[in-house]
Amino acid sequence: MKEYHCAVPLILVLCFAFGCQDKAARAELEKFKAQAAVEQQNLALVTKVFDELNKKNTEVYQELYAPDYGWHFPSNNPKGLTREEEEGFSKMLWAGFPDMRYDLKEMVARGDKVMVRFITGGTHSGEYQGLPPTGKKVEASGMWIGQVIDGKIVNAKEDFDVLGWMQQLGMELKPKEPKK
Amino acid sequence: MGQNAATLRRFLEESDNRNLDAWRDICTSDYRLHFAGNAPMSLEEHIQANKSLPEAFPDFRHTIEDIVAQGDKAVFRATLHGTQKGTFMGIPATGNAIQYTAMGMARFKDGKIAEMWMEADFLGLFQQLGMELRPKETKKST
Repeated sequence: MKEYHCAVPLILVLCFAFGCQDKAARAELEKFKAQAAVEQQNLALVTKVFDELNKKNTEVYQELYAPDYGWHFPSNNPKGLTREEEEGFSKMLWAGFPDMRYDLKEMVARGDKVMVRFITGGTHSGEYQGLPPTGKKVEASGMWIGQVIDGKIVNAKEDFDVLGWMQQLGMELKPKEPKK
Repeated sequence: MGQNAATLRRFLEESDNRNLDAWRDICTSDYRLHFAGNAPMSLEEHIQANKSLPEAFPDFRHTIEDIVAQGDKAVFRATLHGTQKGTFMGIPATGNAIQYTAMGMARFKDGKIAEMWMEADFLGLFQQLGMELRPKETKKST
């Protein structure tokens, strides 16, 4: 009987503890679900950005990029290009490669980050970086990682096979010649 | 940090530790590397390629900026630093300090890296070693 008396409060304590644990687990689950929902939204946003760029719709830069956005490419361009500078860069590419498209191969979202692995290519039918059109089809791979806050891309980092892209256009690496 | 993120971090750190033997534990035996537009490399080929870096850049190391993991994938962004003290891809030692970025995406299988996609700013690296892009010469002048 003594044991029984002791057990009653113990059961109460255990019930209380498990109740709390259940509550904590539920809160954890809710947090997880909320994060998964944000990650889905961020994936949709980044997919939309690349889709719109494939349509050459430069309005995405105003609509989906934060005003103080910075693009760290190539390498850690310390200042980061502004969204207006990135728009200029895209227009320069489209002038050289009017049929240029991004083909998204894989995406990973975690927290506020979205990563994209892509292949892009096009036909060199306009002037590009001083190179007259060659008619060559080029294709190269890249990776992009962006941070999304409140539905806007606030910064992005990219590594892209620029060397492979330029080699396909008939360029090669040579020791730098001293300036005349 | 999740297990896959920690494993990807260790993969990069073991390169800085000059302990590439650890990659044989971290990666599956049928590991494949897809780097830029090159043909896929096996684990042993990737180990050999990575070993040649500290020969040219003895202080070669990674600064990891981001690791993002989800499901069976983990991604890194890093800046690579070093000083060229030896020949690198035919370029004799310049003594130049170099810095360039790289990204990679790893696919995991049973806790090991089974496949990796990587990109790096190799053009930027070569430019820091005194190279530049020029139109390819089609005719050999003698």
